[in-house]
Amino acid sequence: MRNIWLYGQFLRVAVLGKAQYKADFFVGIASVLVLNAVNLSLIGILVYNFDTLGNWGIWDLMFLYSFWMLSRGIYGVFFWHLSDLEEMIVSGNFDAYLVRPASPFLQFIGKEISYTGVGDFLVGVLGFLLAAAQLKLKWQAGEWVYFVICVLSGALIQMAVNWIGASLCFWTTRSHAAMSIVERFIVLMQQYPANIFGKYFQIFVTCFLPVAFINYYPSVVLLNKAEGGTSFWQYLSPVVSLVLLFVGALVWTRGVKRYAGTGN
Amino acid sequence: MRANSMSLRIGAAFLHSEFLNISVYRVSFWLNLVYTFLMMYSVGYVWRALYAANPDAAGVPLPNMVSYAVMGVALEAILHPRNGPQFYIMEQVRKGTIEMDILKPVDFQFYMFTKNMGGLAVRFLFLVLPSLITAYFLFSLKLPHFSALMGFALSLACSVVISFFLNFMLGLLSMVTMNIKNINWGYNAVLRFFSGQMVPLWIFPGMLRILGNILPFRCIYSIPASIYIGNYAGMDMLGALGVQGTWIILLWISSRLLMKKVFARVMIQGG
Repeated sequence: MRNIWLYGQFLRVAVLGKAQYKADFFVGIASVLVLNAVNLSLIGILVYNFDTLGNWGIWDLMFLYSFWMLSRGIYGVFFWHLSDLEEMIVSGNFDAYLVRPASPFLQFIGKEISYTGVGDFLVGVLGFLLAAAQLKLKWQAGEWVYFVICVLSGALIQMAVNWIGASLCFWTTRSHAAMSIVERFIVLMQQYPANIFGKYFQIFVTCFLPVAFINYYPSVVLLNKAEGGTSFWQYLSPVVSLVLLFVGALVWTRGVKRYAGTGN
Repeated sequence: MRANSMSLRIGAAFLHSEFLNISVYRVSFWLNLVYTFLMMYSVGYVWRALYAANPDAAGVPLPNMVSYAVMGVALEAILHPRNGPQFYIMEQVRKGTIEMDILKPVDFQFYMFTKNMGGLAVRFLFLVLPSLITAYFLFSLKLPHFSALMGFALSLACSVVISFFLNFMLGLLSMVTMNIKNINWGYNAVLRFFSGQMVPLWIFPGMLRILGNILPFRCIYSIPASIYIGNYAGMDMLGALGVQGTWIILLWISSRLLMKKVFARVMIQGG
């Protein structure tokens, strides 16, 4: 309980800190909007010419992309600074967290809030509304609930993957390079349906680096894209996110212990 | 004549020092290579999936299209704006040491050019070439005819120069605005869209295609890659090279003018 209150206080400070730079805020949001417009138009031009991309039509792809943007927006606002961990460890700033009477994780996560995520989220909302109207989605309450849960678990999957990646630098002191590869991989992945990349790729993003659960499988379920009916494991995004979070917590705890133990 | 051979020697020295600079960052080198392979693999699949639905929509056979796309990915290692001189210029402006660069007994633009070319030559040898060789064996990049290959090489040299001029002008802007991170960001987005790097310009709808053909950005990816896959052959190839040549002259003149203007302003401010 105290932790939640503390996290709230940290975020309040972070927001106040950011509020000093208003121009940065608007330029940041604008550039996110431009980037998304370019990405979407390129996909749009492709599908306009070719009609479909592996049985996904233009509005299906819009749905897929917006789904990712919604979860990425949430992830971005609260956890974008996970990749700062390397710099904090190299510079020794992380040590301050170890001596204060609050969990180092809470202090690290609460240190910043990032507004570019807001831009992503807006694109997500807009794209989703457009796609939902064009696809004439008629969802019952159950599907809405599943949708919201999956957006949240998508955000958590991205958070957990980056959390695990960032924690590696407790052992290696360098993690930024590996994280940026994974980040680029996720960016590439989420714009296209995973099934077009061949069987091995699909196994990789399902079992080993389960980023297909961020937006691909939820979209398969919600748009009914599975050939021969949806299998039960395609519903599992929330479970995957919890498992990944658990692994993340484990890696982080061991990392912090190791870091504090060796006297760095 | 003497002046010429001297600037050549100076150029070679900058090239050498840039080579040393870049060979320090080994991790980012491997990272770049892995990323490039990943991208080449996936663009191939995207085009295969698109062709499976509609084989005739792009107007060129699938192997050519895949080669075009793979080329767009491989060339990013030298043509991406992050490899331009603008960030160096911006850093120097912020540190207040830009006069040191301007006052050197070499023309500032030529200095930046050789410095930039040094970096690009290293990146070409160690990133682009290995990627292309790998692409030939793994990602179905096809070899072009001899004449297309020659045209491609010439055209790529032009793209590098054009991309340098555009980046250099952004760098000059940083002397006025102090910060070009956001402008560069916007430039990058426009370039990605109108250069035909990801999606070839010829499948763009109406107005966008016309706009893309007017803007200089297609000189950077679209023309060399189109020559490579044989889309521009014979007279078309010469025409495309002519377009690139024209843009080089236009951009050279405008960057000289801009440099004069900006320098005049910087000198008045007292640097």
